[in-house]
Amino acid sequence: MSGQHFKWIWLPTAVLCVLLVPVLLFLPAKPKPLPAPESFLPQRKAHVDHSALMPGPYHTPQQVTARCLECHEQAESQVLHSSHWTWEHEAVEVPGRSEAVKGGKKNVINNFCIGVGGNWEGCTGCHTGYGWKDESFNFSDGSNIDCLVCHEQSGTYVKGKAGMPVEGVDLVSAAQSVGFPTRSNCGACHFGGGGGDAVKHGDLDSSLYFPPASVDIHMGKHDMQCIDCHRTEEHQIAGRALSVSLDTRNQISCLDCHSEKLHKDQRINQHTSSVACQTCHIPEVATRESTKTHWDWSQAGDANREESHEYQKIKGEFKYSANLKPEYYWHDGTSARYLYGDKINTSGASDLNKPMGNINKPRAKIFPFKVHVAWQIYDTNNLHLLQPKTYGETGFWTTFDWDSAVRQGSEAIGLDYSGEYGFTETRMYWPQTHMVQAGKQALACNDCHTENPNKKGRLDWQALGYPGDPLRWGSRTIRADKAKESSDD
Amino acid sequence: MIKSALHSWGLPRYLTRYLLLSALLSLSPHALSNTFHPDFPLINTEGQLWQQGDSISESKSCGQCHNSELIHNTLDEKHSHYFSPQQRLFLKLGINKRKTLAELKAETENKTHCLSCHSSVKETTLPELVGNNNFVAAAGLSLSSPDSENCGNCHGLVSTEDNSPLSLPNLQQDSKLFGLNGEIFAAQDIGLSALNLANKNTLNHSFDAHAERLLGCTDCHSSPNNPTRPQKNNIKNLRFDPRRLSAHEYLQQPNHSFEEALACQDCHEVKSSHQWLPYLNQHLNKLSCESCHISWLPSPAYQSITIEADTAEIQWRGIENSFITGYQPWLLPDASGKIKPFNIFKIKGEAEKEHSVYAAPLHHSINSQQAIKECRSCHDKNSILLRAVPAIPDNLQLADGLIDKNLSPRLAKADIYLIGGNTLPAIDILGLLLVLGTTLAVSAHGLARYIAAKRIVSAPARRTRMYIYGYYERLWHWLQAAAVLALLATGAVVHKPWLFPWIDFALMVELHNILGFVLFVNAALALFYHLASGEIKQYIPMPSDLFVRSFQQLHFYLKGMFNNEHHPFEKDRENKLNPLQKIAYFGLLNVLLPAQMFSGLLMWGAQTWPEWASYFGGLPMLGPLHSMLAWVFASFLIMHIYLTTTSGPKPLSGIKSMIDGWEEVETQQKANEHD
Repeated sequence: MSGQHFKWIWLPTAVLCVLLVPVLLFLPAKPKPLPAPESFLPQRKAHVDHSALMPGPYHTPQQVTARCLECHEQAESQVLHSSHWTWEHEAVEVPGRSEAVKGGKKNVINNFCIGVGGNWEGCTGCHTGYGWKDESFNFSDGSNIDCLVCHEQSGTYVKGKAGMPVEGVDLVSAAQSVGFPTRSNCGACHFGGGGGDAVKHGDLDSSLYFPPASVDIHMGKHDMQCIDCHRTEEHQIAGRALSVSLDTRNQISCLDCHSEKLHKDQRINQHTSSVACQTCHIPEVATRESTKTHWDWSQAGDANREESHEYQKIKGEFKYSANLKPEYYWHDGTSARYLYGDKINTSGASDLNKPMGNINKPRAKIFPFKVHVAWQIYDTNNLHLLQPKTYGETGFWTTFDWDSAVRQGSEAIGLDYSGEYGFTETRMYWPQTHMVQAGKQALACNDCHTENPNKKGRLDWQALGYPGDPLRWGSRTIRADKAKESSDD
Repeated sequence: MIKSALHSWGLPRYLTRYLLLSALLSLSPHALSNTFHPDFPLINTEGQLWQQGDSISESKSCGQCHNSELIHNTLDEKHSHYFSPQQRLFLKLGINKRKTLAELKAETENKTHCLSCHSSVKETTLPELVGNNNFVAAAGLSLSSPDSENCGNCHGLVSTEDNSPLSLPNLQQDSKLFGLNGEIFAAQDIGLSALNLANKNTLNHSFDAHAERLLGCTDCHSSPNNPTRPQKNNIKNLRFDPRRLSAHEYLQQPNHSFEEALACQDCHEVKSSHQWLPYLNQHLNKLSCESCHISWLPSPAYQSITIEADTAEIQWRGIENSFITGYQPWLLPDASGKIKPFNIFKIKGEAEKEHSVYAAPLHHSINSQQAIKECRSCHDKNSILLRAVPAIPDNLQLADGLIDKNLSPRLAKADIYLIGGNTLPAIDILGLLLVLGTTLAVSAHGLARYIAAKRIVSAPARRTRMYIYGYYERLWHWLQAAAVLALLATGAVVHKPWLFPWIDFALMVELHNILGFVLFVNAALALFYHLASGEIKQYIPMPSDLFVRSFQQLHFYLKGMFNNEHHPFEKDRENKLNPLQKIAYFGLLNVLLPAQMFSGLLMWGAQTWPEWASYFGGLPMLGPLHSMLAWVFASFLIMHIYLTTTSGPKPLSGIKSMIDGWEEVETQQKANEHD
């Protein structure tokens, strides 16, 4: 009987269906919005307040580490295998070399203070450990791990010689303040790379401690921390540096959060297969602090010259650039890394980490670089770069004796030194990927393309391998045979 | 007011432009250089090799390779001479009837020269570039097709320079006639310019989208025989004719009548980027692209010009105390019937008869960021399409009576019915009266019934429960009822959008269309059912129905039912309708509903088959008709719903019977009366 009562239901149901079905079928669909990029960010957890867990007193920093490892048992082996501890990475196959080779900060020459070997005490102020002052440092001893440099939040923790905290550091308050790493922790080393604020990277400097949106949209407008992109699990920090890494494993990308085709204008989306996001969205770097672009070691040691921002007796002559416009090269994520003992280019500048890639490589994109030019010491007979010992009582910075400095340095890293040296030009390529700008500050069409083909924009089309401005001459067409050729390089 | 001394200067500047050609090439790092053009000997006016002291003939020098005769024959007259800014203003506005073009040409000796458009180098003279062998080093001239800056030397405000903030030209000496419409052809972000604009920091787009994307003037204003120009042909089976001029043939004989620019749709696939716009074809038929894409100019423009003997006094709009407010162009349908944007300004000559009003069309300062996307910008009583013009332009061929005495456009004169904007007040007043009258009538009737029911207490009529309405009839009825209600609701929003500002206009338009088709299909199936089953005969009034029986029914409604009389006609499965219902439904289903559906169908179809709509008078006819019929529908609904309360023992019995099919009909009359 109750069923009879509701028999009439069929009528409104049928009417509703007959009306709704055509509406749903024929109402024009609106395009679905792209997922918000922030939805891809890792969730920030609240960090446990450690003030009650780290009672102290601590007389040595190692005591803090021991306390940490009591609870964080896994952390020890995790850090011992991280590149922030080892300063090298596992041997990898590299095109053009017969054996697998190891990269990493410990194993390569750079364009600034040249190399770690022999200069440990000076360089390891930025090592996540305590006491790396010579080659005898034990990399499997977890008790020397420096937990605080990445985790302390008191802002009072400062490392000095061989990575030991400087005098006066209050270990207890530092230990009690620990939290997830912030820009301050990372910046303490990475903003000052190369021996001073803004010197090395161009796109990393002290303006990122408290960045306005105009310096970096992620860290400024959205107050993102380094580890939001450089995601870290088990102390393995994601990200690769072209200066020290020989492969692209564990690299991070804009596309981790952003869609490649997110621009409203299809013409812009057309670019993304050949142009890296950074190329347009980082029109200039070093917008608040000048970055070093030239370093001439050959001028060092001149007692008669006045010390200045542009000249130091111990280091030589410098040039800086503010609002640096990057240079643009094809880049597939790797570089042709100069390693100890490699022959230099005798007919010009030697590239220490020339970005790999060319117009025929499908994976390569046009990418912005800060190019740093140096004159540094090399062996005129063996034709390879030398690594001077600069730091310490017998180092160049005390003795100003190049011959002695490179003799000691070569010994420390096992490099031949014939006894004769000269200076040669070396170039280093720093991919620009921070200081990202919002769309309205990004490059516009006419920064690269020109109405009149005789005028020049930012990109040198011929040098990049195009017949002319692709606006008129068309974008690159990758021929299968050429692509294969170039991947065999 | 800004005094403009247009007449007093101009000539020497233009003279130097072609005489003073490139130099200091090596000193300037940004100097252009086209190394492709070969070096060439100079020819004098006698046709001989030029010697120092001879006068140079550019047309003979260039004519060694390029067909100068064809070039001169095709070059339009206005480009063949340098006119002073005032002369050009008069030519442009067509106001100087005192002098013809030929007379003006005779006034000026200065013919244009090849290099004035084809070289962007301005610092040295041709003889200076002649080497020892009497050849001109062509690289120094950087000969090429004209770039935007070449055109910008004479026309409007053009800037391809992105590094320095753009500023307005000297408004007191508007030598390039920038103020005709205030267009700016520049790639720069408006927010980065030097213009003193309100809310400048929110203007994050370029002055012109084409300049931003590196199009030059000659990309659209290109030579008709330029082989890169898009082709037009009338051959059905041919999209592209590859038999085109080769580059060298074109360079030998380049047609110089380049005044006609490409149309937007020669390059743009408009439909694919405007799928969000309902009635796309209708919009494209009636609106030029510029109407929406030049909605506002961030610049001043002429408001009026007073011509005196040798000066022109200009009054500007869009600028207040050197603070730029910009202006919105006026939208008017021109002779083609398409709405286009114009700057409209008055010209006052010395004599009364020289007074006129000029409408300068706009084609540049295009952008998509500020393009009109909001339906209600136009579909509203405050529509920008109904904005009053400052004066009636004399240079446009407007439809008769297009501008009314309040200077507002009457779009119906141009065969445009602006839905949501062009409503006829008479229709709405009439419709409203009809609805109100019906409501009043049924209210009064209801009240009378209520009072009568209290006054007279009598035994209820004998009733028999009878199955009257079959499944399909009920489905059809309620489907139609729901569709009509929804159509009235959505139609009301479309008709008077400003009364429902919180409802999405475009969505209502789409829903209205879909529901209209549901109604149509439902009606067609019902017609088939009634024809096939023979039920149709119930709806056909017999002659007796029309008079005697109708009168009986009317008498019942107006008098009988208050005296507690019974329904005059008995109802059963074969006789569902009383005579008045027969007449009403016959009218509703055979006249009102079809008329409403067909007028709606024609309005919908006008986007694809405008000839059908115009056969029935076009939208200005169909629109008001459709609105009027909608009011009639609304009145019918009120009457209909009210009358359902009269059929059964209780007020809602009638509706209930239409839901379950069973009705308790009065049965006190003899059964044989209906045989």
